[in-house]
Amino acid sequence: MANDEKALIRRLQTGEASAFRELVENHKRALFNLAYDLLGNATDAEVISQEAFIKVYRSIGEFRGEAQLGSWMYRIVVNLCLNRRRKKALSEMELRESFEENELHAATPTSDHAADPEKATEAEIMRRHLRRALDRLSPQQKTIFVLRHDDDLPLAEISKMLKISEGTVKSQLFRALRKLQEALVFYKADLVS
Amino acid sequence: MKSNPCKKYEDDLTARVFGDLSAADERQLQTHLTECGNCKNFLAGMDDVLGKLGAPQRPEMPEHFWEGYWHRLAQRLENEESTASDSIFARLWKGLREKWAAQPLAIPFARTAGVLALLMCGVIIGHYWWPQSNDAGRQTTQTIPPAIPVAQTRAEQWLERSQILLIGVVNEEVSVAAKPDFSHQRLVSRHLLTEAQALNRELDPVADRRILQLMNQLELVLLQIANLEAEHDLSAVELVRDGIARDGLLLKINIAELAQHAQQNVAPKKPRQKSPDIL
Repeated sequence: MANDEKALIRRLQTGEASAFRELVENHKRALFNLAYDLLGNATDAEVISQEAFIKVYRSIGEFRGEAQLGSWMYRIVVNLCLNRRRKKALSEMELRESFEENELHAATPTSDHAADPEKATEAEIMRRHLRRALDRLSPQQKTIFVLRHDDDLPLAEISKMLKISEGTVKSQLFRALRKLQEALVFYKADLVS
Repeated sequence: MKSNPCKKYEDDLTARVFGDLSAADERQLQTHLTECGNCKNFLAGMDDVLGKLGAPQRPEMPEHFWEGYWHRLAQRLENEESTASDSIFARLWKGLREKWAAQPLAIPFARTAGVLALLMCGVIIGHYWWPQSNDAGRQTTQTIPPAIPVAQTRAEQWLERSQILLIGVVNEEVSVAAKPDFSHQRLVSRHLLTEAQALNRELDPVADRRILQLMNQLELVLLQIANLEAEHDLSAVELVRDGIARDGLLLKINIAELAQHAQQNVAPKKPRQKSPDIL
């Protein structure tokens, strides 16, 4: 752990208000992005990332520094997202996710195909299809995939974060990959037929 | 892929997809791949999937969202802290009641002691404070303004952001030669519409009536902006602008006035009586 981080933790543990603000300013984007990757909409991402900061604020006294502060906060966000997904009514979730998804994809042209609008649309539709398939994975599988693929976290870190063995992480990730691949194969088959 | 012979390579295949495979495992996997078409196809298929999935798409939140992040968090924390402190007293009271319930004789004793303590407090306060209380009462007839609920603050921020967006749309140069690009405005409109869904649920239909009415009007315009073609949608832009001008929306968004109105609609709290020592 870097000395700066140790000092920040010490200041947080003594209840220094400016230290908490510093922590929030340093990590707000990372926590928001992680929550967004897992939940798929900005409103929930803000709520969850703030909830995580509040949890950190309240339990910093128990933090022993065995993990990096960032990893600890990531773990809190992941757990909050998993709980939220479990609790939230499925219908509402799907409605908002699909809305958010449409908004995002509609607003983000794929730069690789910028010169060919037809190809760009095709690639975009394919990507939406895969993102939808990702949403249909089990919460654990989706979380593992997102943490590895979107947030580029090592498997060992994911295993610690979710408190499961590295072997389970690998097997869940494999299943997630298989399901995504199947989704693509079915999609292509539909196109042909 | 046949499950049995390839099962032991599943972890290696996953690690390979994400570039996590060690050199020794890579060599072993390569040997397997030379004789297993299914695993080879799996890897090729995964490259295709990940290629098509691309990098994660995250919203580019406007700078004022990040600037206000700390403020919103601090406010939320403050609200939760005050609720938590209330619940500490509730828990304490519950604990005492449970304790008394276990000792039936303690209940009448505690009640009598409580009534006596209250009487004593009343006598002491009355004795020291009564001569001054009339004047003090006159001086402190002004009610303490009620705290503005979080949803109202968020609604005000929402209105402010909508106002900025509308000003941008109204002032954008629109002509065939200028080739305006409204993709950013569309994105912001869609975020605002998503937030409006949550705010509509949280705001009080009576106390926040004016804010809700204005939000409903704005949502229609935001929906129009969200549905603009990314480029060159000149006639639709004109339609949006006409709507903004016709309804006088920019003039209606007077944040300070709305906040004041919302405050008036919240039941005012009575001022707390200060103890004689403070006075």
